[in-house]
Amino acid sequence: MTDTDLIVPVELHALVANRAVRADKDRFKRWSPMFTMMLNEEFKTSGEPEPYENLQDYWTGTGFEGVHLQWQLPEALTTGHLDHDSGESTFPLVPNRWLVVRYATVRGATTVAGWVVHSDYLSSQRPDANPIWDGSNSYLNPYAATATTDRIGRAHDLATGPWHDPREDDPAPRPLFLTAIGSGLPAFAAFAPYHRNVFLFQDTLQDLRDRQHGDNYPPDAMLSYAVIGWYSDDDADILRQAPEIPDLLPPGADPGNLVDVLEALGWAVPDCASGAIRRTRYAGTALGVDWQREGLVPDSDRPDGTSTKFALGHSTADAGAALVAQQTRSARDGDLIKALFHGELGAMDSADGPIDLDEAMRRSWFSGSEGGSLWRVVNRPAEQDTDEPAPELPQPEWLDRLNDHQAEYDQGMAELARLQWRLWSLWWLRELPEKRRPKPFEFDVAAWNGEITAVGEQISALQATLEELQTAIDEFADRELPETQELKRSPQPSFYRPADPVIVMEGAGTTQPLGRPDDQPLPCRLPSALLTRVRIGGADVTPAPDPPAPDLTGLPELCRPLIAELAMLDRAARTGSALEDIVARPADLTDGPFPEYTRVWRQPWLPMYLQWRIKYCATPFRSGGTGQGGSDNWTFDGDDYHWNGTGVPEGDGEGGVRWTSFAGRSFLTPGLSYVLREQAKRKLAGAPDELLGQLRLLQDDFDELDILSQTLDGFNDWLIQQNGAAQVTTDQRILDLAGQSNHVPDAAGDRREQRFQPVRAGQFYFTELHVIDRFGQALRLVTALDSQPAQLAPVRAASVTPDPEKPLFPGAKTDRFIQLPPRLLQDARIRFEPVHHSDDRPLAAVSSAPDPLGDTPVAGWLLVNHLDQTLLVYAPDGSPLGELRVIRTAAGQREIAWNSLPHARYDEPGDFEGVYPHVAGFASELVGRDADTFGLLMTTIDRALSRIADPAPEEDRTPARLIGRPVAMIRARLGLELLGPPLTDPAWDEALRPSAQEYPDYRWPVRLGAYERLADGLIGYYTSEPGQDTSYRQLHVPVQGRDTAAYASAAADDGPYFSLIGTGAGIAMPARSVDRSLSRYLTLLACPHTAVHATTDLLPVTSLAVDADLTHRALAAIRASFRLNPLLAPVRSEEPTRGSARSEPEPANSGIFMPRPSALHGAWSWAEPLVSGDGPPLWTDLPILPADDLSHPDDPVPAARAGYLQLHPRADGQGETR
Amino acid sequence: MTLLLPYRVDITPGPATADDAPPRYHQLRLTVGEEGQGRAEQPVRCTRIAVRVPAPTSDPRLARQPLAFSTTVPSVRSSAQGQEWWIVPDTTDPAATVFACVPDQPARFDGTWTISFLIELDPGFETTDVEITEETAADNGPVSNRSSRVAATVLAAGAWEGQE
Repeated sequence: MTDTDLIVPVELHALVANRAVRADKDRFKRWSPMFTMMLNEEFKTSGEPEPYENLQDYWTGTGFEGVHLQWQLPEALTTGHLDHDSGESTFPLVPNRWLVVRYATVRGATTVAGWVVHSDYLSSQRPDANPIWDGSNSYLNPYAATATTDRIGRAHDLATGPWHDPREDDPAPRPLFLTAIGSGLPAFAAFAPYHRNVFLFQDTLQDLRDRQHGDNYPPDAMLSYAVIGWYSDDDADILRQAPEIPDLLPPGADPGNLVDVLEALGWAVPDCASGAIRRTRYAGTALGVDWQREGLVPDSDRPDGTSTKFALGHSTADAGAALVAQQTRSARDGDLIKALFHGELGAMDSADGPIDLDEAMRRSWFSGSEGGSLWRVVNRPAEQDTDEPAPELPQPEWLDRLNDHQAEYDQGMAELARLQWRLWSLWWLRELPEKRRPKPFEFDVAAWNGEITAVGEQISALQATLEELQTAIDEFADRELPETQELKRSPQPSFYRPADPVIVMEGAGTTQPLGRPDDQPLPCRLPSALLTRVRIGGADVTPAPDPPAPDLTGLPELCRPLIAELAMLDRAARTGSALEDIVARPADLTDGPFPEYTRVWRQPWLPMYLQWRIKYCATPFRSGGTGQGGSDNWTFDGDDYHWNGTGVPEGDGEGGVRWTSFAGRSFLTPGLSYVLREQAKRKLAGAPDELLGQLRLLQDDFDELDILSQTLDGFNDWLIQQNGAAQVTTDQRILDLAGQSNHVPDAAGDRREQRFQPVRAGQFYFTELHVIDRFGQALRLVTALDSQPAQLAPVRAASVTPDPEKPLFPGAKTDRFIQLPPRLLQDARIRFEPVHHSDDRPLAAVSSAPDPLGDTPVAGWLLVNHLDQTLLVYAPDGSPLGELRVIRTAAGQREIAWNSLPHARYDEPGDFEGVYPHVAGFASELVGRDADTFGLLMTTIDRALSRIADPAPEEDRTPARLIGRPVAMIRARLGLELLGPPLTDPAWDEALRPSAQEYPDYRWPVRLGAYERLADGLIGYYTSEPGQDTSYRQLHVPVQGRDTAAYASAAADDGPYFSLIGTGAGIAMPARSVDRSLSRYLTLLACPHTAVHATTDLLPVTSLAVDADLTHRALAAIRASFRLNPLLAPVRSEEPTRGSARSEPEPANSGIFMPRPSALHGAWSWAEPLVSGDGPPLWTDLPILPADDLSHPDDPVPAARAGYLQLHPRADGQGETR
Repeated sequence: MTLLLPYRVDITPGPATADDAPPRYHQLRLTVGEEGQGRAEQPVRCTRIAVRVPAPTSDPRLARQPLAFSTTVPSVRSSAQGQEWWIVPDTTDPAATVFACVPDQPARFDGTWTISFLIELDPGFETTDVEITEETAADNGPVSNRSSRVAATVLAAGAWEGQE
């Protein structure tokens, strides 16, 4: 036999449904597609039944009995590939013919039977009305121009005659269509009831009944099965299709090279003998299936439900860690799992580790979406790396227009999406059958049509505008720029939406991996290299040249040798433990490549779905409206929200509160063990030798973890009355305007189901929870016997555990409840970003009014001078302004005063109010305050800096460091933004004329800074209510513990200067769409090298940092100034003129005599003010001449002087501190 | 019009509740075609059967609660038996819930087979009187709607079966 065929192994699962299995009414939850009802104009249901509906009665009658054989297609055939151009996923065609061969040994005699499964048979092609031509599953006709129902799949019994492929009679056969998703159902190839006689064959065993033996039912038998699959048309073979499937082959792969194709498919070919391979065949076996009609339920890995633990959290890691911590009684073990899952294991040993880990985990509670773009002109990447910061690039004047267009475009796209959803909702609801509307309901068809038309027109207009904007944006790309520059689009901060809650289960009885590891490709075989020997009972058995087989006429040639192999293995299965031995030691007991998935039969348990029904009770964020009469039902403690125990809507259900019921279903995955395994694998790469072994062991352990995880898919959508699980067809008539939507509105035709809650907050418990496997076998985890379900209390992550002191209703035990704290269900983001230092414009808008100081958010710099007990103040570019210090007034009061620094251009803060308004505001507000305030301010800065970690202190080599760590005054904008207009309620009573939502006016506290976090740079901030100028009358500081009292006592007559940030309630911002957004401007006092964090719990923690190059440039210009007086020293010089006030030090022949400080860090000079009139003083700047022991009779008489020692950084940077 | 098909409705009270709410009939079984005699000569073509279950009225609290239900459809053998059946609930009317039982293809009841639909409802219902509407035709004539009230048999709670 030539090796033109590649034999790809398939896993064959054989479910024995004997009487005990069939009669157990709790054993299965099976349902099948209902396309007929989906297309029925009177019902328009989803294509798949809702959870817990339309379950099949399998226990009545004996029709379900027999052996259900399901072949699991190789991963490569079930994986969709995204076409980036069209945005659509392509699934490869799959084999559409399968031969099922059964060897049955009954009463010592072995017989053979066979069937051909005609997987892509369609009822619409039936030759006559005979029921044998009934298709087995509801389907959509793939050839019809409009959605049309059909039925798919049938089996041909080879006992009734040989197989004759109908395609051979067809002069113009139509292209094949069968894929793993069938008519668009992701579970089509996986869930047995979806694909009877397609990828599943039920062997009823009725042919084994022997009337001579009086068999009323199929007698006990030992069975072995083989399935062999192929494409009826070689052109459809995956090896030929693969090059045509977008994104299947990796970049650089040669589509004509079979080795590349096979590698992309994850299939290994023996000995690289791929030269002659032309097509694929698929083969699998189920050996030693023990059929006993009256026997017990066969043993399987299906647990009994009581041993299964499940945990809930906001994310997989959250729930997984809670489960591990509970099982091991160790919170640290939970943290380790969390850290490994997020790839933050290294953080565990750092000082900020727990905080970093918590932040990483909280990020995973949300999913991000694009936040728009911003354009900048940047230097093209240099050919050679350089450490020198790139000079700031002046931005062209047209850039503002481009960014305006882009912002308008981004906003327009969000608005378009909302309008399209509205149009789709209105259209969808209008087209629903009348019986889906609530009763009573007055459907005003004219108004409905009018609104659809109006929204359609708005969409058309907006689409046209967006097209124009896109064209305008594209035109900017053609602008001429110098060769070294380019226009670059950078993403704006992402929007976030909370993820659905996650359930993690342990002990569900599966260790089936998510997929084959990349390094273990599927071992395929060739026809010339099948098993040539197996050892059975001490004797070698070789394949028979003509094994017992069904009629193989018209079937692939390869079937016969594969059946011979089945015959050998079946014999082994019937001979003591021969098969067990062979499977355990194939290399010793067989010759020839051992087929993958060959094992001794065991009743399968293959968890696939999680299905649940919950009862949900809303605990709204706020009650009573947004005005004074309303009140929040939740309190933010600076990290998390806590429910106050108020605001539960009254209702008629349990406890007198209002409940809604939500049922859902989603695919289970071993995602947790997969991620942990992959993270352990990543660690292997850089691990020291002594850890390698342990990491490998860990990896193996993760492989065997019996842990499944799944999000409660659709939960958030359900709360805003959207249904993403419905299988519906998009109406072509509306497609152009409304776009493709994978959701439909759930308008609550039953008004009792209304629950629109755009700010998710509430508690729920499970009334039903099932794990359902590929065959529909169900494992019940929660019983729902009455209104108080008897269930194991789930393990809950701290993030979803309600306060036991605050039950939903009196007497309620909180063990079963899962609490969901407030979350916006609309995409939102925190805008916490630096703005221009003087006029607060966005930093992007720099080109319209170029600033000589540069594009900087730093309003000024502060340096605490411990030597002089002063606070030095510098302009954004590092030029000197003045110093704040405590003086004693004539009246004997000690108060804060301002002195200008050497070479400052301004005398008093009021003088530079127009140029550096925030530094002026800061200084003016301090001047005149008492010494205690100054002392506390200095202490505040000092303590904060001693707490704040400088991420790379070695990189800051500026001389200013000699005095201390600089403090930046950063201008920032803070706001919460919603993506697009607010969500609206799609309920029937609201859809046409939606009420305005109040949630955009809710106020959400934002806590800035993190006292306990070393990597948070905030020292304090000044702010005012939105719309007002920033007030410098009060500094808000993140302080905890013993220092709190000091601030509380530092109250002045005009109110305290210091205020504690606490939980952040002082800054409470509404989350609104961009066109109504509210911004608050702040001046942050912060370490310039360390980010400042904004925590809301509502959204992931956001941080703000200053561009490192800006910081470096400014700090390098700062001259360290040390007040020195009185200094008795002579000067040998000519007096400088007024014009030289800002010049560099005079030549060395004139200078002041004094002991000269070390020149290691740069040049020192002496600056002292000259007497002047109004305006800033003139300064003389004298070099320091070293005092010596010689006589200088010509020198002037030494005078007592007051001035500053100044350190000048060297231009070449060599004077930088190290 | 008189119903062409024979029906039997069994209802089984759900488990006792903790409070003083009226009895809840949690499970309803509708059996169709259980007649046996004489039908083979004049089979009935059926395209739909609807069961209308009034909401509990003695306790308005029950009527105002959202419903949770499970439905189970029979497995049939061939296209002549409808191929597959579906139950589609209609809960839009707070006064009654309607369950439409629809075959994938028109079913031909000839007396040789029966089917049963199982409906579990929470909160349940308290009446034993349900209204059945069928879309049927004798011979090959057009289908038409026929309605009638059917009194259910209340089974003992121990006979409760199905989901739980």
